[in-house]
Amino acid sequence: MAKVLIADDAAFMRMKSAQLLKELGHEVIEAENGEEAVSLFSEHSPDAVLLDITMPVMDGLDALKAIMAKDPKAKVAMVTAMGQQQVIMEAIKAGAKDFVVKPFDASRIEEALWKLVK
Amino acid sequence: MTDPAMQKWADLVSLGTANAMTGLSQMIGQAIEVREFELEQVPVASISQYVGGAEAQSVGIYLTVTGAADGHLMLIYEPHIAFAFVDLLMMQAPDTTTEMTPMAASALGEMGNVIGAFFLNAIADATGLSLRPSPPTVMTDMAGALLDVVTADILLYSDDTYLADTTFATADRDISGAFFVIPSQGLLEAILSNEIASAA
Amino acid sequence: MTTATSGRPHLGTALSLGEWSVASDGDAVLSCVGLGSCVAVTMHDPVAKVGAMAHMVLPDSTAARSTPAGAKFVDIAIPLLLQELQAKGALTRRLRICLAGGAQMLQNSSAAMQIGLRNADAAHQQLAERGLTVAGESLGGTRGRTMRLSIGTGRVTVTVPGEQEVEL
Repeated sequence: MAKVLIADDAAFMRMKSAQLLKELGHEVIEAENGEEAVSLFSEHSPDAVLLDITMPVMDGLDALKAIMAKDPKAKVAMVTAMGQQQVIMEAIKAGAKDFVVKPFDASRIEEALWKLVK
Repeated sequence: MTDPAMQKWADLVSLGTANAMTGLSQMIGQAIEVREFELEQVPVASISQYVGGAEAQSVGIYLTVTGAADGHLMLIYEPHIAFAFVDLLMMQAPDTTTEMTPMAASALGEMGNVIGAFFLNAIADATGLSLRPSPPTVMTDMAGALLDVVTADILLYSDDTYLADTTFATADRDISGAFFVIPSQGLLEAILSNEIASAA
Repeated sequence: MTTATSGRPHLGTALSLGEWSVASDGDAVLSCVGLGSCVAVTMHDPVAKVGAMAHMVLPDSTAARSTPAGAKFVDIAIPLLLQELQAKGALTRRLRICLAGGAQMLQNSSAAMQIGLRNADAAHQQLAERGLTVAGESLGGTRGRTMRLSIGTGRVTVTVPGEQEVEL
């Protein structure tokens, strides 16, 4: 069982992801935007982080950079519909371990998590 | 717009729309059939005619585009169509959703996020431009009032716009809807100048 | 530009963005349907029984790159309606003037993006500069509106879907 921080501005997506992760036996912490994700990361030191990119207040790429600055060993995967080549490159360069393009199926999230926490 | 420029824009919008429909199809776990795709030059003042008239109560999902250029994307549906999408997205039986709850609005927002991002992904990858969608806003109001969000900005530059009108339907549920792409002047200029420059 | 046509029964003339109309037919009803950030102005002379309406989209024509024709811009539409009404026998001092619209459809938009607010301000300013007062208004908020002017009676109504009709 892992402690997983998920950040997505859509309550609908948080509900779906949390449901899936809990079924897999994980503990879930939810953030509504990048800023909240960064502060919850410091507070809870999660084993893995799943970050959306398009979010208000602070987007997922900035949150990724802030989290990697706090902990260079942080295990972060991006989970976003914005699968543009430039964006994927930027995320990988900034330290994301995986890039899941939404809409995802359950097995893809399971695989991403397994890669992060193995 | 010159004919070659119009053709470029049509090609890009068509590419983006096809990708957006792929995203929507993946999201709802059903095939989406594009029944009609039309790109026309229309007076800005007449756009509401394409969505059932200015007074028709409608659900709008609105995203701004930032990056290489500013622009707008808007999806407009009659409420019963929007609710049918919510049922699909939430894996509920047809006609379960009858009002716009916060969770229903969030599901539609996420649908707008996927459609908008997939549309922009295809154009961004084809042109090399960075085009990023904002978080979605979901609104319920008269179509005319919703469209003001987009049209006021366009009318500052031009009386006409290029309306891409896609009619699609799901395979096993009777849901059809329209997806409008109405470019702002800046978005049009950035995309076309880049595309023509890269083709030259 | 449109002009109300006569003929009865009269369902009314709906003005789309940037359109305006002057009417003297007692059966005529001018309307602006689904106003969001747009502002509609009505002007009515109860003695001459002539009235006008404009569906204004943007506050200021000087910032525009498009043709400032019609009633698209507040700073052009208001003087235009006053001039056209005078030509139809209205007296400016007798006009009953109402405003509706100017909603902010998007929450959290930046000040520069608050077109509804800027349209309403521009309309107030254009009228104040000419010493004209507003008899009734329904401006701002976050909901779309429909405004109607009955030429025969001078009655001005504003409706918001799901709410009671308001008379200005």
